[in-house]
Amino acid sequence: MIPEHDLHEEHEALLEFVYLCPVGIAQLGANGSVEMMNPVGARVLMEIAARPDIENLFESLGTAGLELRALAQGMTADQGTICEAHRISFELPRRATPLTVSFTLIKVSPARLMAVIADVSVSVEQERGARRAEQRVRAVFDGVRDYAIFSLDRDYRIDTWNRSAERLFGYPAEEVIGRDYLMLFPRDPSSTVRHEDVTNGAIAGGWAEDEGWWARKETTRFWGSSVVSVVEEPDGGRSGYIVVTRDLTRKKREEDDLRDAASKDFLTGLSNRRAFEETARQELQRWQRGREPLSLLMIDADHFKRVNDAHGHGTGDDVLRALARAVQDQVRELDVAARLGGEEFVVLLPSTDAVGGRAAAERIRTCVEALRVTAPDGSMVRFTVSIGVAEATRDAASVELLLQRADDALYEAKRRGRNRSVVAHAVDVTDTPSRVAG
Amino acid sequence: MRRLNGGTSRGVVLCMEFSDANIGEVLARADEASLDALDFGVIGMQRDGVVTSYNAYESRMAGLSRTRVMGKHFFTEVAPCTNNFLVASRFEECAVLDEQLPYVFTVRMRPRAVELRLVKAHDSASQYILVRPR
Repeated sequence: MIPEHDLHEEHEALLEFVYLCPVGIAQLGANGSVEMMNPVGARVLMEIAARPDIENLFESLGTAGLELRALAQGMTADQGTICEAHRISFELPRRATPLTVSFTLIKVSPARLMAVIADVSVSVEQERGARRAEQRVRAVFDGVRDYAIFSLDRDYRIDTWNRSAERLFGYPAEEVIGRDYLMLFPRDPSSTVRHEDVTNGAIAGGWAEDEGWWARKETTRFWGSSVVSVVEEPDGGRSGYIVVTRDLTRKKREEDDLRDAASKDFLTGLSNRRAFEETARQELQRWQRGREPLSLLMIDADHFKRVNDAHGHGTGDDVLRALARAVQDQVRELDVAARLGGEEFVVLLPSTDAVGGRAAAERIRTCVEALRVTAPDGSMVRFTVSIGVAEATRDAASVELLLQRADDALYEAKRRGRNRSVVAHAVDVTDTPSRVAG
Repeated sequence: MRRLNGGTSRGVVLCMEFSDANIGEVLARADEASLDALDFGVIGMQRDGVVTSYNAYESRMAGLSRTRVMGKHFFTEVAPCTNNFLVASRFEECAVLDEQLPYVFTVRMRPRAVELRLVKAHDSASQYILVRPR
């Protein structure tokens, strides 16, 4: 026999246990009548019900009660779960956010239901907040028209790709996901350096900016201004990168146009003297640091004054434009062709020695020799050029000296009869046969 | 306040009503016997919530003996359902408190409508919750 005293103690301990239970629990009759309910259950229901002394769960909760009753009555089996964590939200005038209550009803026997009643408003709000944040991010992610957003895993493989990225790059997501993002860079040796620069910058500072060309799926490219951010794990590790890029091709073109306006010769479209001197200084500095040779061509149209006098300035301009085109056509992309003024042109040839310079000069000379410009009177105007070639050497290591030396060689070419090229200070100067100057 | 004879062995019983205006002062001087003679519940506690008196009416209603409740923190260890803005927060917020409010207490596992009176005097080290059925 258990002593009466112990039973009493146990009963009290049980009561206390139920009072302290942090979720609402209740025992109901089949019709919803409250037979037992702990304080938390009462407190939750008190918030919703009009009457504080809840006699019947189904009757005191309005439409929510009807909903629960329908669930309970829909259960034909003698026992089982009627509903599990069934959430019902209540808009209450004194609350800013709805009260959401989770009801679990279990039919223990045809006459008895057990209920778990929990206020889950806080977690519902948290879930809603998280969902809203996700939707907002999704809306920004997919909705931004001007910004391509994509992310990379830690090995620079693309793992997300938004609609703007599809538009901007021309790749649908399935063609880029999982691939190395270097595919988006132009096929150019400098792309690797650029990729390393920006990712190293991002790793060092959390994010880095990048400006440069991106390659589209089609052969075209666009000028993008980008921010690359490191995605950090909670433990401080690096899980990947987010790249946000914006097409600034139009702005880049405008800037280029402005720069062109300041650096281009208006008549021929070649560089002007100022731009040439700037580039030449940079190339000479590079030449001094490195081992690659550097050469310069000084080109002058022969007897240009005669063209002007015979056919007018308009034809003279046409001749200069044709000459400029010929020069541009005969040199490489990296060479810098400029008009210094009047009928005088210059070409800077990086990585080219005097022999290579001479060859370029001869290509230009023979090309010009074959040109014909139509004058207003219908006559065909022919013309020639004389070219001085100079290679940068220790004793001619400035732009001025190099120009001077090429000019001397040009003078020598003129002196020897024009329509020829002469290499400055070269021992094996080979003269080209003189022809009729234009 | 009246003096009655023959209440308890100690001889003097302080008598009071739930709605007495000066109930704070009376409670502060009342002994256990006086509190037990009341027909409403009284929970006395220090300002930190530790229970110092728990009368017979309240003990009967809640089903908890006095010894089980005394010395425990009322709002967390005895009746967590009062640890909210309506009850516990009122005591924290107010230096002086005397207000009545309708509430629900669980009486023998059934929610019952009750009237609460929260009392806290300026110069007292104690505060009280009075409970009576509605």
